[in-house]
Amino acid sequence: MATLNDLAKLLYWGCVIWPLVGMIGIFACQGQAARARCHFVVSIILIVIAACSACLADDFFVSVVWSSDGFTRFLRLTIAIGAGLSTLLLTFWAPRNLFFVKEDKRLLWNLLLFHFLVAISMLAVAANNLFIALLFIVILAALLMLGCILNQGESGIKAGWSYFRFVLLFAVLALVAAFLLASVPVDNAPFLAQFSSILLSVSIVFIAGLFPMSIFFLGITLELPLTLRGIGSFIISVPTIATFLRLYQIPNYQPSENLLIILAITSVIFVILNEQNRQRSSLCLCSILLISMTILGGVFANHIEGIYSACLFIMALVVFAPLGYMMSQNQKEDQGSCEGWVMLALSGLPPMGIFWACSVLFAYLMQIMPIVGGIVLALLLIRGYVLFQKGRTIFFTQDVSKQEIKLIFSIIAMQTVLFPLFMSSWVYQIASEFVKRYGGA
Amino acid sequence: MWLSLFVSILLLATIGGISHPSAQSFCHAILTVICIITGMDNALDPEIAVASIALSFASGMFLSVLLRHQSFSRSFKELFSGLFFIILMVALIVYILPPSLPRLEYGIVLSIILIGMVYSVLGKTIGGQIMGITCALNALTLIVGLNGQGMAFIALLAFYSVFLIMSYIIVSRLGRF
Repeated sequence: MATLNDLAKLLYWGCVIWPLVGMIGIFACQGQAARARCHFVVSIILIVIAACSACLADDFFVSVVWSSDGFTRFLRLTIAIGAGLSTLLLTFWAPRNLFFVKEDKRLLWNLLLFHFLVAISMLAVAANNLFIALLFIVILAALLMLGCILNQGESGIKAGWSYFRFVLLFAVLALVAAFLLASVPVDNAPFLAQFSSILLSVSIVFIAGLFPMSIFFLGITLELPLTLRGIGSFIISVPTIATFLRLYQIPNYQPSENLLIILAITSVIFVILNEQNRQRSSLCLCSILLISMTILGGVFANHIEGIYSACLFIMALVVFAPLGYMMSQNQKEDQGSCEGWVMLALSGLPPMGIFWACSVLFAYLMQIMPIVGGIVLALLLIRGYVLFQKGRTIFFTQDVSKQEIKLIFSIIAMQTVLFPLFMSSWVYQIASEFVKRYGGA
Repeated sequence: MWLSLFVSILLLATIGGISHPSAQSFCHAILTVICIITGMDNALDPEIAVASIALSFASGMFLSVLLRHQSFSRSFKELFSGLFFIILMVALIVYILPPSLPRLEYGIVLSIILIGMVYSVLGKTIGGQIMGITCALNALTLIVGLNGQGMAFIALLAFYSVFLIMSYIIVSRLGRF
């Protein structure tokens, strides 16, 4: 029993230490080919470590600051899967980007930054303290800004600086709101808790990537080097969403559901309006859509259905966000049909992609807020119509036996079939524990 | 009373600004230090208050040196938006907070943070953008210095460190504006 406990703790901290060890390994490698192989191996082993940590259900106590519950282990596993997927896509979909003609150092710094980002995000999702969680989120934004600077374009540096500024400023606002909520007595101030809660939750969902911050989020992700672009699309959002979901543990927190729902719906409308822009690939907007849907589920995180659908959307986010950004590079001949299958998976239509997550969320929304459920359903239908009109959804004209389409199919199948098959009961258990701990029904 | 007075002067310094971010950084840091000193009697943890004083002063000096070649001017749009946010935030806080608390100070501190955010957004120069964030961080230092306990100061120090490092990087990369 004690051995199992020690093993669980070892794997828990292993999720943070292994990427740092991987950085040392990549630094020690000579030549771009060796570094690329080392990067691949480190990313795959991280998935194994995170999966083993998730399987060890022994509930050990780490400290007041670091939580070790099922939700943390789930988030770490999803981040590891997303990072692994990003590496896989880079190696098999866009391998040219792992080799620079002259500058070996740029690949080195990009890969080191990749694993450092993963290590910090593993710490961020485990932080049980709002201050520390926001601090790690600001550090992640600073590291993404460094990634843009490594890319060495002036537009990239400005995009990175704008994004970092906004994340820092909203984090400061969130901290002040938390101070008001925690430090001030609320006996004879009926609106204080509500005001502070609104300020706190709105600041955090803006950092996650809801409109209008989604403009800066999109800006920075498009300016990152390709090695970082896949994880850049979710590496800040997942810890921020985790912080948002954990707000329920703050005493006196009273979320304003209506305002948050309006913000999430506004983001979905923003995605729909921008998907009509033919200059930009629709795939780049899929991360914003998935973040909006996750926040929509997370608004009801004190109920099982809310947290359950949020977890399902997080799983979709870490799979489709790297896929979307990598595929938007126009590397392959059959780009059109591959994009078509990905957009079908993201449309919410059965049986692929986000269908299961959407159905859980809509079923719950139709029970408690049928108007909101109806509006979101209508928006997704409008989006489907817009995409068909745009003509990017070519499914059946290309040879499905080609290697690229097989890769896309297997990733979509993994997210559609394997994840729900193996993980849905575990995610349900996580949702029940979460609600039991933080109150609600 | 003295705290209210100096917080109000801090607010004026935030809104009005000075053409040179270097001088503004210095003034803003000194005013923040004075605000913390005047409120020290009621501070929750005097050690954190002293540490916050040191932090605010040190960051002010660092930014004064870093931004010595920068300059910017405030447009009327920025000044009026700043005034608008003061009136909005002070009115809101005075309405929301119970009478037993220093409502005016909380209102002014929150408005400084909001104005800092607005100036950082509207600022076209790197100096103006950095000063907007600095104003907001100084206001947070004031809150942490007078109301912080435990790990709050360590987290604030880490925030400052990240911000100052990134400011140094951006000024060295994007050069003079």
